[in-house]
Amino acid sequence: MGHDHAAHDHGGYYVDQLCSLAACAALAVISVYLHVSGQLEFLAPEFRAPVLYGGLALLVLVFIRGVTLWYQVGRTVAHMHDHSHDGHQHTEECDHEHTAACDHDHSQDCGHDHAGVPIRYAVLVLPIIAFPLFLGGGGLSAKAAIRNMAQGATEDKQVAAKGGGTIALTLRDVQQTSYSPEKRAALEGRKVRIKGMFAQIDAQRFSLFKMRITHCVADAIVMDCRIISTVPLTKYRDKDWVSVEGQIEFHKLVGRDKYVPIIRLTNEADIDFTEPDASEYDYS
Amino acid sequence: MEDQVHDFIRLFASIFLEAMPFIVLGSVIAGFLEHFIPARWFTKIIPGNRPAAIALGCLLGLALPMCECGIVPIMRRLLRKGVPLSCCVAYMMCGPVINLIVLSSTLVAFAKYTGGWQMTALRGGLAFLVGFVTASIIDRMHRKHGNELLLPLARPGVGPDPDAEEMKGSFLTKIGRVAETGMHDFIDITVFLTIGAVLSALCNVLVSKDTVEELGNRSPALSVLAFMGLAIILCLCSEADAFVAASFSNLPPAPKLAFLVLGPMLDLKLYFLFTRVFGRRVIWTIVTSVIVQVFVYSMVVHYLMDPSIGSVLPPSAGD
Repeated sequence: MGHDHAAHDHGGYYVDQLCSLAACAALAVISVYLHVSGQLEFLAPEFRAPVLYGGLALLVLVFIRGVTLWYQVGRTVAHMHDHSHDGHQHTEECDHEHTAACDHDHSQDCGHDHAGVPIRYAVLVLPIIAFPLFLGGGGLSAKAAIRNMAQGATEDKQVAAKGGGTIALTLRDVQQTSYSPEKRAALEGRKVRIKGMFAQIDAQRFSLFKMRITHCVADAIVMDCRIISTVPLTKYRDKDWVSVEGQIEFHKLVGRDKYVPIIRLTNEADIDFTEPDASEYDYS
Repeated sequence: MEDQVHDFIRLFASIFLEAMPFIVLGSVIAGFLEHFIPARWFTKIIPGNRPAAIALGCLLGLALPMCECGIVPIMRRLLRKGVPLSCCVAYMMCGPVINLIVLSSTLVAFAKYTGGWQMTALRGGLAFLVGFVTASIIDRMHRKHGNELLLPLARPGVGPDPDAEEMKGSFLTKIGRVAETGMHDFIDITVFLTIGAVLSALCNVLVSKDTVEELGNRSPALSVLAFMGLAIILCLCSEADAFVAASFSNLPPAPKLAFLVLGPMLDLKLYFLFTRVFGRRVIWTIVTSVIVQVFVYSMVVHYLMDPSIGSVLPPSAGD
């Protein structure tokens, strides 16, 4: 497919190229900034370095393109100032177009769409503005975790307490145990201590949770343990880090082949604020 | 409302920033392909027999692993170099699944469950089948309609030496052109990545994975369809989706396979990236072919395979 060279606006082309440079440079700087400032908590650790390298590679591209564009403009200005060729003086009355010296051949399809399309830069404004201004620290909200928790009613059952000391478990241990009938049978009824973020599902239901991510927060899975308490929990707010001690049980969801871990509290001393983990996320 | 906006920005940023380095990589590789590799190299190595060429395209990911975002700018340049459309489509469909990195991550994700090897083999095998059939359909369309199926930016050059102009110039001149091509491709692809990431983040905020799982418990067909929908909405990287699928441990293998095979081939983000290469007819052919095949093959798996594969922990499994 050929190019209509006569209709090609070099001024528009250079403006488009400058916008491309600016957009790429902005995205590159933002990527590097987010990595250096430690705001990439929503990505697994092994995916943070690529953001930095991608930003640096983009900066190199911007630099090389900036230099070649500068050189290209220089040649254009030099050509426009060359007022004679073949004994012909360039005046306003000339009947041919005085084209700039391009560094690509417009006689055939060069694989670029040279028409400036401003709307694509408008789309790119979203990440350029949103990320530095609105990302900040912190993870997903408790509402996001609650939305992804198993919400249905559970079959009620009585579980006899088992002897033995208190076992310290992580939410990941509890989640893994809930998948296995043998592990559930072995642990159910024991006294355990679990640490996590508090979430109030509704007026009557509470939970401990932490988000487990593999690559990024879009693939996050909620690890949670419901709390059944005979003592009031009004002093705890969503995402407060608490340590909870009580009898662990696994109740089957009604109509589903899925077990929800539950911890029973009977004493105000069984739950208290605790030091937060290094991250709100569990990376695996 | 404030929480939802906060979550949306985080989800959008995570999808965008996870993909961006691979788009930079794909764009730079595309630039080198355009200005350093002549078209005649590709015509030499691609088999003349079309089914063999398509099969080669399906397995190309084993030699050139690339995630689904990075593949699009590369594929556009391969098309311009005269690589047959069917081979490019095959690579695009299968490359993000049939590569050592993704197959290894699938094996690791299902290692704790019964039949981890079977899940991995099924994922690779079904992806090959879907990619081969889809590419064959596209090949027949291409024989009938030619290059009008592609956007002008993706059409191959004409003449005996179609990329003579791109190959001209000194090394430094070519490096300059690589930068121009790479930057152009990066901007072009990233605009549509942004749109896809926004839509995916919105869906993530509004749709709960637990709701999808509960929906899936009602019938096998609904389960498969629900997980296909989830794969399209979540826009996960093909290395990470195995762990998400494995987490639905109480489900049989069919919906999980549907999720694992469909996701790298078609999601919201990829749909928008396709619009930078293909015309509408090709896009809808790919969408229809992939969705129908994934559904049918997953239902076959449901009725033929042991339902405990990829779901049940072996009795002696540790943590």
